[in-house]
Amino acid sequence: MKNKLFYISLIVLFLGCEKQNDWLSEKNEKSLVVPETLRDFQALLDDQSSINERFPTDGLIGTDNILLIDVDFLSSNENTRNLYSWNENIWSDGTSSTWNNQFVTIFRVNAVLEGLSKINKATVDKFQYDNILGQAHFIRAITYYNLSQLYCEQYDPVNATGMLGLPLRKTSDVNYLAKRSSLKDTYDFIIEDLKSALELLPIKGDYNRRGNRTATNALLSKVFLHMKNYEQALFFANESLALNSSLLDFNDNSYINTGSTYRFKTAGYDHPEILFYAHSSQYPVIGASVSTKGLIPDDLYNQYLEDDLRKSIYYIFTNGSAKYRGSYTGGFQIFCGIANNEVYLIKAECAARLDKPDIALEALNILLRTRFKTDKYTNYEIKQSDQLLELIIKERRKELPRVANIRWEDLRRLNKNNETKVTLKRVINTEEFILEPNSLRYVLPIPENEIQSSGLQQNLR
Amino acid sequence: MVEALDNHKNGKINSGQLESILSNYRSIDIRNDYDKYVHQNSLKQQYHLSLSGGGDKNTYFFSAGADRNKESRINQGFDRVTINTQNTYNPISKLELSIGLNYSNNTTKNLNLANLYEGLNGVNYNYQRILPYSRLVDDTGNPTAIRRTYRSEYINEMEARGFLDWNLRPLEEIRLADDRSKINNILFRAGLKYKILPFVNIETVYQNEQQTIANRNHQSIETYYVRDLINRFAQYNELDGTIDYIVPKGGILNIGNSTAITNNIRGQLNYNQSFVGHQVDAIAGVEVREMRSTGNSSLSYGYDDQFGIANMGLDFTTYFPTNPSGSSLIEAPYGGISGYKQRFISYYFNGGYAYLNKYLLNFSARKDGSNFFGSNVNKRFTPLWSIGAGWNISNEQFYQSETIPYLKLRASYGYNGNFGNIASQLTGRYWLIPALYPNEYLSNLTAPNNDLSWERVKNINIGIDFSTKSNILNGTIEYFNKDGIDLLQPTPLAPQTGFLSYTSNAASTKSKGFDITLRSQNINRLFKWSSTLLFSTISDKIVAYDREPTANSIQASKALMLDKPMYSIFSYRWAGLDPENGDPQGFLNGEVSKDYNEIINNYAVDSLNFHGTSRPKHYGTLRNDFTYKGFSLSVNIAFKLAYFYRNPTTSLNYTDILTYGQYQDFADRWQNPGDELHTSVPSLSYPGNSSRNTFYKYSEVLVERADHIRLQDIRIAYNFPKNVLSNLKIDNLSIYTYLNNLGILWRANNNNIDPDVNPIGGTVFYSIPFSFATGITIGF
Repeated sequence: MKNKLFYISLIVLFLGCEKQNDWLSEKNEKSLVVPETLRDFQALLDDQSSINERFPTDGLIGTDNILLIDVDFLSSNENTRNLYSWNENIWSDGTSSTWNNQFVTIFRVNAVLEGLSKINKATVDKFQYDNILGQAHFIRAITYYNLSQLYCEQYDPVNATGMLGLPLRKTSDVNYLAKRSSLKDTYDFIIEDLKSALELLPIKGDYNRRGNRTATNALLSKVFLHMKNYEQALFFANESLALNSSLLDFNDNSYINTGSTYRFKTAGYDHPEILFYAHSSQYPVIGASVSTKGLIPDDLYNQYLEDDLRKSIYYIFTNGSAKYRGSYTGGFQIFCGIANNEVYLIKAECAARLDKPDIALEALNILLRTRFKTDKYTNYEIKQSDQLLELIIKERRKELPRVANIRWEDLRRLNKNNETKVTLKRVINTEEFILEPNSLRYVLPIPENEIQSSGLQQNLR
Repeated sequence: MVEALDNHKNGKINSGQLESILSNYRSIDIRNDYDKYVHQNSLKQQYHLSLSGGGDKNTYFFSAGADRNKESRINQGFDRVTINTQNTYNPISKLELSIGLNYSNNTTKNLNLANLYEGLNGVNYNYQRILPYSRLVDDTGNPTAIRRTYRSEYINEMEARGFLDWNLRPLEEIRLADDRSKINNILFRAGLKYKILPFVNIETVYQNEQQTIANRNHQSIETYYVRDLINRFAQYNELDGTIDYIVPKGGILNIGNSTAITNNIRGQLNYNQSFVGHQVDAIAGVEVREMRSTGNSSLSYGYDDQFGIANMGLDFTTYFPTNPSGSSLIEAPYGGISGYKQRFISYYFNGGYAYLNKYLLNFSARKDGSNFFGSNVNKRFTPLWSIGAGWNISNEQFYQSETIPYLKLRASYGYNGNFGNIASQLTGRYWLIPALYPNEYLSNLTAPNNDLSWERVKNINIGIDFSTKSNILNGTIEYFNKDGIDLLQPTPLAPQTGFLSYTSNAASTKSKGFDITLRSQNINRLFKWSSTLLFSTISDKIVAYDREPTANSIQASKALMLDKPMYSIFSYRWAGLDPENGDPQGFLNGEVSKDYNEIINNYAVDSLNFHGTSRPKHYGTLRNDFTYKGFSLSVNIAFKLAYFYRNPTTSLNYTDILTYGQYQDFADRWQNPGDELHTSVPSLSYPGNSSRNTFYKYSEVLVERADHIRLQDIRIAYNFPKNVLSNLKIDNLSIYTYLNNLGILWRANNNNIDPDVNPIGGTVFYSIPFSFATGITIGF
């Protein structure tokens, strides 16, 4: 009897072993998850604060669309000062949040792509699966595109194979370190991602924060513009406009309020021109807030005609200089997404370059008509493609003065042609700074902590 | 002050007026007002009563206690009531049943000025930066407003328009604080012990604990937080001068409730048997524990505490223009529920065998598992085992020492593994904040690491226990050797991975040292004096580390570098201040240099200065006890030797100083040529230069020896003699006084710095507070 009891109690004691693994696999916190369902993957891509709200604007600070008076230059943070004065070193402490944040996004995308590949598509909503897959490809493409405009040289169709591109990461394995690819491989990778997205995405997403087919076409058009492939760029601009060509009439008082600090509706969820929404609040000096220090140079502000509504919607003129107010974000943040005004301008430019002045003129006039007071706009009638191109490039700067890094990207791109190259000059505390066209300073250094921990090849400055 | 300087610059006041304003400010130190109006001596009162008794078949125990604390700041406090019972029954001799119940209820009262001292600049998040020349009271002693955030002209202008008073009076805030947290705790315990065989018994214990926490913070409309919120969102109509209040005029109530239930069951077998000369003792058991908790919170606007009504008709999704500028959303209440469920299982075994009480063997092993999230199930258990042997030499026939009558030799060898509760898979947390984003999202991602494995530590210990004749001197001397293999370390990652660091099996270490304990009976008469010395010495080094160092490595608290201790302190070589402008100077390739970027990026170990470790290599305590009749005195001295620390210092950038405040050596900064002869604090720069600052902060001029000896505590007690007490029907009566943290007796650094104290907010030190306790214990 006694022995029996002894053995029974032994059994009771160790019976638990069998069930222990089941018992321990219960989650310890409700809100935690190891992403494995479609819902989880959509949620990984829906973290706007990490993805859409951390787009880079580092390039914009080095352009001719910002002017800092000496006092405000001195009170700016170190990265801002370095970018503004085209300094050899840029990143204080050897780290760049721009670089870091873009690779966080790339990690998210890779985690989603790997996770989706483990799901049996037959068991889930196919439309939703494709949509998420397409969003992932779109986000990775736009992220690499943004990085390529800061950390790589301007694309050169002839030499791209021998130029330095970006580390192309296709895995979420943090123990893997990528080396820099060629610039051609980087662009090919971007295009490959976008073409995959094109097949998968719906025309319009549930929110303009998510990638969609229209924005994918627009981005393809933008990438081909940089590659000087104007046929393809025009083709995709047309594809994009075929899906959505709406423009915001700047006379529309229901959407625009010149009386309030920010002119457009906050957060731009229903902004008719926005195909894909992203923004940046990284550099206060270029922001659209009241306290912002970065002024609009006179040569830009004075280009607007009196009937041009952008003069009062994009800017406020106080104390003898203009400040930017007209971000499509409807807040102080710089808009960094893709909107139809840019697509019209790409279409116009490519058409002009391909010597199709009628198409170029039409696109330009459609856009500009919405920027002027009702019935105050007269259509441009220039028929010479080269003059038209000059006009379109001028209008690009006026329409997109503080949108993403567009002005920076344009300077890099246009400097490759003798007719359109620009030498930038600044005087800071009586010292003159010059940025020559095609200067090595148009390529930002890769942050030191990346170089030191993964041995990437540094850009020459 | 800025306003005064500005007025002077604009010619509104002359230099004499400015000087008188400034000299008035100079005479003010807000810390004096803190001491006078905010601080008080804390007082902790504890009352305790207990009863116990019983007979052959049962015993009982009952106790009740009450605490009432007055904290070191006004309007803060803590109250607690506890009741405990414990009963045991022995219905038959082989069986013992026990049941116990503990109840406690406590209330903490908070004052709504958190982080009071933070660099003298923070009262809490909403009230940053109290200027050091602010006053808490006016000349008549009434609470006064401090200057912050808004200029007084602006506040007056808005008040004239009909806005609420926009002044912040810290002392008023303290008075208005109505923030309490209540904790109720009930614990039920039942146990059963049954003797199966004379040498085997089985015992199980079940325990259930329920805890509810209720937090309530009511901020009335009189509080600055609420007035500020209402004013910021007030919409002023320029045309007719009316004000539309978006945030209702009323208080704000935050409530947070949570409940936690813990279940715990343990089963254990005990085996104790002795034969002639042999003794076997073993226990084996399993313990299972689960903790479940849920919590929710509410936020009420326009709250009226008199009737308990709130106004929740607010628009949380529109960006409203705010005063003085910008636009913002109103913080929406959170409707979600937080939920946690933690589970643990442990298996353990411990067995010992002794032969003739001379030769001892011991084996122990345990395995602990938990449902830590994101790791593979088979990695959820941490194993641990050790085997030991002992030899009581003094029990041997041949051992006949009179000077050392007790001598024992022992050794053990063991391994333990640890998985550090680190997720090896990618994990994220779900969020839904509709006011900002229409969709749920996953954030707080952890880096996945498929290569993650156990870290293991191999331990070898060899020790001697001894005591001399009449126990005049006894103690133990123990040598230990620890090999850490694949230790889990926070490891930097290249940013291209998407993470800046993760935990990986990056390092292996070897450490060894001695632990020595000696107790001596110096005088043993009516007057008694005994001493206890605890002394440890340890040295360690990293034998493998699978990451290359980077420029940032030396800034980490663990600067992991091969062949160096884990907590090494490195620095840049120092070449003094530039006599021209007070710039810090270092060395680059053997030459004096100010190329700070290059110096920082020249991070190879041999181009840096290696000082030593930031953990003491030798440390211990020496306690001396003296007793004479009923009096006893105990003095404890602690020492830490052979280690280093980095002196905190001022930032060299004005912008940092304006943002975070300055450190005291700011006053010693280089200002004029010649200053370099008596200071090593460089000149400040504007605009800021981060590399210059980083170089200085990690230069050798700031590294100091941290060695020090401290008078840790003193205890004085008096026990009343029995013969006095017996008349009073009291068993024992004693009074005692305990003094803690009496100060440093010796230190190697000349900066009057206590190396055990970390600066608060990086800039301000408050020494470890001296505490003083006194008490009476009466037993009936």
